[in-house]
Amino acid sequence: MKKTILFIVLATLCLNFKALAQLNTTPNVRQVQGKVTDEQGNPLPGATIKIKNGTVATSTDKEGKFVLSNLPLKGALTVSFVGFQTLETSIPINYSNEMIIRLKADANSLNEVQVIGYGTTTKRLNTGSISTISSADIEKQPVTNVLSAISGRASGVFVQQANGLPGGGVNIQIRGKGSILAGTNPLYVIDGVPFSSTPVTYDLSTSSLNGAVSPFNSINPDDIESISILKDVDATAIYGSRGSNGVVLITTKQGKAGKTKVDLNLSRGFNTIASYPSVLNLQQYLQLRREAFKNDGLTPSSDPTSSSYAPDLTIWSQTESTNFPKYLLGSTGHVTNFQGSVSGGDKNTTFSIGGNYHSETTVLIGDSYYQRGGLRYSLQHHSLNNKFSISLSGTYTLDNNRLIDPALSFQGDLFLPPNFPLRTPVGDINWASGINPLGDSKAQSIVKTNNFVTNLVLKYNISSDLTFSSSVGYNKINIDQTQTFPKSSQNPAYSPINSAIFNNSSNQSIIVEPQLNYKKQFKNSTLNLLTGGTFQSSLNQGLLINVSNFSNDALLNNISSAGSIDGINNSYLQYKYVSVFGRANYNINDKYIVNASIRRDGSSRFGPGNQFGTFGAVGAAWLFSKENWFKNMLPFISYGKLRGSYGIVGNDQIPDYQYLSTYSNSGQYYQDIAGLQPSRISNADFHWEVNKKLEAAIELGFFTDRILLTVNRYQSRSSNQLVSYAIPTITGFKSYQANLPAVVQNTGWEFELNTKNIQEKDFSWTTTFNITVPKNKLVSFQNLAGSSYANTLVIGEDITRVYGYRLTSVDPSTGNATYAPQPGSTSTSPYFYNTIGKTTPDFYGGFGNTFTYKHWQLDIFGQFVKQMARGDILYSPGIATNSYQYLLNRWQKPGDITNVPKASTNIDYNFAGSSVNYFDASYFRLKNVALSYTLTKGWASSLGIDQLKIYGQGQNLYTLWHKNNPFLDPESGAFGYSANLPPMRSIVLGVQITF
Amino acid sequence: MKSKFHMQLILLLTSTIVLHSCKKMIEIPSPQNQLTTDEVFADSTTATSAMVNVYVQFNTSINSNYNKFLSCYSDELSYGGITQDNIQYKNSAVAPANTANLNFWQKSYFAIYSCNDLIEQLQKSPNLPALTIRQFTNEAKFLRAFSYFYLINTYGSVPLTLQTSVSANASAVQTDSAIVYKQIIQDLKDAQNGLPVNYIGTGRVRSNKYAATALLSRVYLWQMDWVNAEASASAVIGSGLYSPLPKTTDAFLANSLETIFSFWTQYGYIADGTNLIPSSGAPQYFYTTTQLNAFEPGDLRLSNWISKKTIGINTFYSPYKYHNRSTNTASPEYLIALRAGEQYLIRAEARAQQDNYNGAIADLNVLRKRAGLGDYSGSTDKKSVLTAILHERQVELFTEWGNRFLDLKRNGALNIVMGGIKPTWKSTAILLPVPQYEISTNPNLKQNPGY
Repeated sequence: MKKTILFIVLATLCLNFKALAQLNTTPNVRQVQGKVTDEQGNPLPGATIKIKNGTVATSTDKEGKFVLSNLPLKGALTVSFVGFQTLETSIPINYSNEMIIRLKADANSLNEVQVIGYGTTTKRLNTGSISTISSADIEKQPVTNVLSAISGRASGVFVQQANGLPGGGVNIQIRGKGSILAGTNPLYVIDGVPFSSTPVTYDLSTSSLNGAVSPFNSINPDDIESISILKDVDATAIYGSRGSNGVVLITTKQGKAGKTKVDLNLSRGFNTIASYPSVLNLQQYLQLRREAFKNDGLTPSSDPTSSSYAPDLTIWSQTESTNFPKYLLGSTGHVTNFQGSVSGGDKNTTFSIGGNYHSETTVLIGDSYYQRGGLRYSLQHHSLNNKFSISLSGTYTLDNNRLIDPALSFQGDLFLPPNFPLRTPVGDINWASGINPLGDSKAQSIVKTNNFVTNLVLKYNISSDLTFSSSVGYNKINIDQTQTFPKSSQNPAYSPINSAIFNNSSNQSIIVEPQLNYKKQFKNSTLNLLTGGTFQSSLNQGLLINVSNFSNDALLNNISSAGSIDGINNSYLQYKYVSVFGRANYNINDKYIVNASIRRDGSSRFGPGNQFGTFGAVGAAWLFSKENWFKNMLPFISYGKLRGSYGIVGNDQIPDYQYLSTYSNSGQYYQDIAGLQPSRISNADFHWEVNKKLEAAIELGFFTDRILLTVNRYQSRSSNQLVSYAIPTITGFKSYQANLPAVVQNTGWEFELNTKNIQEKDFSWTTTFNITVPKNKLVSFQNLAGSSYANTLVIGEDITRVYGYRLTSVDPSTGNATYAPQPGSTSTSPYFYNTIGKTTPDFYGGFGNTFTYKHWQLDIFGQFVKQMARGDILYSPGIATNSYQYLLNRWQKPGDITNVPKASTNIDYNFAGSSVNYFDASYFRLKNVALSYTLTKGWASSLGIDQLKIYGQGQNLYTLWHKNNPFLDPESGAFGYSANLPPMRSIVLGVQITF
Repeated sequence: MKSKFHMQLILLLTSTIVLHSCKKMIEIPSPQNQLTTDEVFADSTTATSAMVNVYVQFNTSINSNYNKFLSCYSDELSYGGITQDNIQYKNSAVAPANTANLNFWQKSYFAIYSCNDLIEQLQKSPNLPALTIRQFTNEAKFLRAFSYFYLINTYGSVPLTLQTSVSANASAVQTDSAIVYKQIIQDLKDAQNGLPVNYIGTGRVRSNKYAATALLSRVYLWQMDWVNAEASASAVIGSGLYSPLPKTTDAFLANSLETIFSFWTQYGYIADGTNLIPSSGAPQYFYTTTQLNAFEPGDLRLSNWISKKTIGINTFYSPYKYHNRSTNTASPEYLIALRAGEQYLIRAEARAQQDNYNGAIADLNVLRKRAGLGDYSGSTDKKSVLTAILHERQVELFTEWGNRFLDLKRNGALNIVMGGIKPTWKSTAILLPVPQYEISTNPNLKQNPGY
């Protein structure tokens, strides 16, 4: 690798010397010198100074200074710089004085700094498709997992809160599901350090009521300056093999030069569940049960050995009931959040140090809480001559997540018969139904995470055009998990042996990325070259110990008190990744821009011979609004850009070692010998997948950019996808790593509209709206009929295809359901593989408004999705389990026309997997309302306070959906198919003081 | 021009070096917690670890997804809990999506895969002693035959996989059960010839010559090959290793003399012990009146192998062949797979089928005597003796490896007996459904009729 760096340095130096030589030959006639600064007087290196309508141009050096020669006698200079308003000034008469040019920061969002892979640009000059969420948008949302703050705010990005409990995960899909059963997670990069979004414990999975613990919970949302979501291939190709699912760049806050600033922010609030499932009430439930017995010709019995045993009808109260969803989820969680930071610095050195603390209790019964605390630091320094700079940033976060019920009895508890008595007549916990929330909640899961992300960047300006930099990033995330199952949490009839699970897993990753940046200003154009390399090494290790037979339930947290060790498992995963990459960006007059990137990657996840792959893309933009003819023709269009991109990216989101045939410890003993078992079906032949992506977009600004509209059309085709290929278990395993011989296509339209409706001195109103219409299609599949996907996939259909029995009718005379046989088959057996629908949404988006009036600001943001999903009906009506109100539609008497069969104690097992149990899960959710009052002058400043802000924020306040459809929540979906609890409704009040 | 050439030269040279060093940079050693397959079979100790791990699965994951459920599926056990998958067995209406059904299928095939991999790897192994290779190969064949025996008796024809190739196995079709039986007999004969009489290690927990012979006698009986069934059973009984039969109270202990082959347990209790034996409260699984009424008065098996418990006004009878539900080092129990009692019954049946009624009754009386009952006193015609033997099997082998279901089925009595007991019984319930997952992922598999 050293050799690579040396080569890059040498090669670029050669180029540079040539360019310098050319410059020096230009004769110096009528020369002016000056300095460009921001409003505070800080130098702006890299600003462009041009003669208006002329050909002479230059850019400022690291001290913001410039020298411009060959000046005409009169005329004007234009001075421009990213993020600042372009200034026009006349050429001074007296050349001898140094000009001081102060640029004003630009409020136009088109000129804001846009973070891209290994660099920055502006929205105006960007050739790729990127959505950005700023700290202002994040701060308004009282969320624990920062990813849920993205929800609805970026087109093409589908965000689903999978679980509303603290620690719960958030699913993100950028531009559709490109893969079958494989990782569709984007690549996350925090300050240049790739951050794994898969739970650290994934190789030693332990269940928990919040699902697998998402590592993003150990990132403090308030530490984040911006989140950039790279969507098209032009933006992502620089990440090569890891860009196929999109890239999310997270930038943390940095200090600014100036007076030392202290910022304190305290908020408190509460959480409730956003929606309750609509279950049957006691009378509805009892009627259904009695009907079931009557339909079967049976009499409910109170004898437990009878096959007609029905305590709900014969023993338990017929009048007293519990609403179990309310009972289990009806508590109020309390939230406290505190942030403090100190930042500042001088011309050469800036710093920012912050601390944070967050605590919340949950809506669940029992003892659950979540705490998080952390520290953030950021330090930048550049030498006096501006040749050398160094910056160090990092965050360290600790969290502690305590939840009940790791055994996941929750679903059963939720649907207990409404008259189930929680206690027996003598006051003991009633285990008659096998589960009981009073007992289940005594089992505990405690997860303690600490997460350290840090990054060091060294930069050296070899010349004014050429910069060498190198970053070194390190991330270590450690999870310490304890699950305890006291005797009292278990049904005494089953196995009241107390037990505990201890899991300690860590993931550490180091990344080194040397880079060379070359920027050359020509007369009418700018050339930017970037070349660099990446070396990454990660190690994931874990140890899981199952123990039991503690002498006392009180000792469950102490592993050494365990009477027996039931199993020890460890995991060890090493990953290495190396690449070289390059990018060229050529900009002519800010009018025509071409951007090309290439990357060659090697990954240890592939077998010998298949380790390297090359990826790349080309993007181009034409700012047609800069053409004079256009300005004359359509003057109300203040900004117009056409852009497009095409390229190839890959995906190496596959488990490690899949090419290797190994045996691993089974955790079990035989004749006191530890067992070894085959780890997997190895496949030495799988190789890089290929993802070809095409995009065209138009960006328009109307009336001095008060209305900004972006329309994207994208198409991506992935072939040879790397999947965990499903195979029948007669092979010994359920899947193995392989390339899917299929082409999957994602296409879509994305619209983003931002308007400044009113812009008055005291009042402003802005609106943002985005909508995405995605489409997914399986284009081809080699020998599909003979493959293990023959039944589950259909060419031409969506790969999220939902299949099942098709209910043809419920016989009006008998109430029995009939299901369609296989089309074209002589068999009358119900056929399970009919297409019922898909889970890809029809469209989704967000709609927000921001109002400011004097010191007040009000934000209202809503998110909407049109989609269908499998419902949560687990059984046909009639068994001793409560269910959704939807079952009120069942057949009850001859002549009833319905699609829900009659109640019966014998389950119709086809019903839950049928076309009936597929419902509209569309919703509009009032995601965020934030009201704030900010005081910058007046009495506050007399107290030495620069800014005082008082705010109230609400998250998930209201949801419009088909409430009678059987879902816990339309966003988190049906509970029955994965443990997912609805998002929380949070309301917080807070105060922020800056001085 | 010249500099351009230099550049190209540098580029070429450097890229060669870079490419070479890049390959090194992504080299990773094999993971610390895993051994490559070659390493495993290069050494006796690790090869033994791979071998014994196949045995482990029968207690920890196969039997616990099979025995009690098939007992519920037939007329032995009832289930009082609320888990829908288990209720399906009680109603003899198992849905293709049933999880326990998939588990039994999947774990059995994982054991078969492990056996196949062992057989393949042992053949390739350069270092292992020939004796070890022979021993392990035959143990693997025995376990493979053992798995296939239960698979075909549960599902009818099933895919016969004898190697590990994923491309071949993933689209395997169902093999006619006659061919599967042929393979089972072949494997068992190999094991019978290749395995010693002595058991490896302590306990009778590794298959030996007589384990293979005992299973072979059962397979012959199922195949109605009465001569070979009798001969094999006689070889086992005649070895003298497994007689006299111990008292009923000792029959299921780890050191029971009756045991021909059992699966070792780490803590002295079988995996299903915690499910079958309640520590307090009502049992989840309890015997039906059909099973309880089958016992003659005074049968020690009713009093010693079934536990009686009264809770309030209800009385429950639950499985008690095995007593331990948690760690027990004083009187440990192993999961018994083959025992001499069954060999007497096999021989009795084979003899009766060959019209040797006195021989048959003599074998029958060995078990009746142990159970504290008088000698068989019924008629000595073929039908009566065979009925008596089938009945003896019901009261002797209950809740062991789904024996009752298998017996009713091979005698063609399943539909008659079950149809009279369960209103939900259908004639197609004679075969369990091929798990939905298998049908979904293998287009060549056909679902059994009625599902």
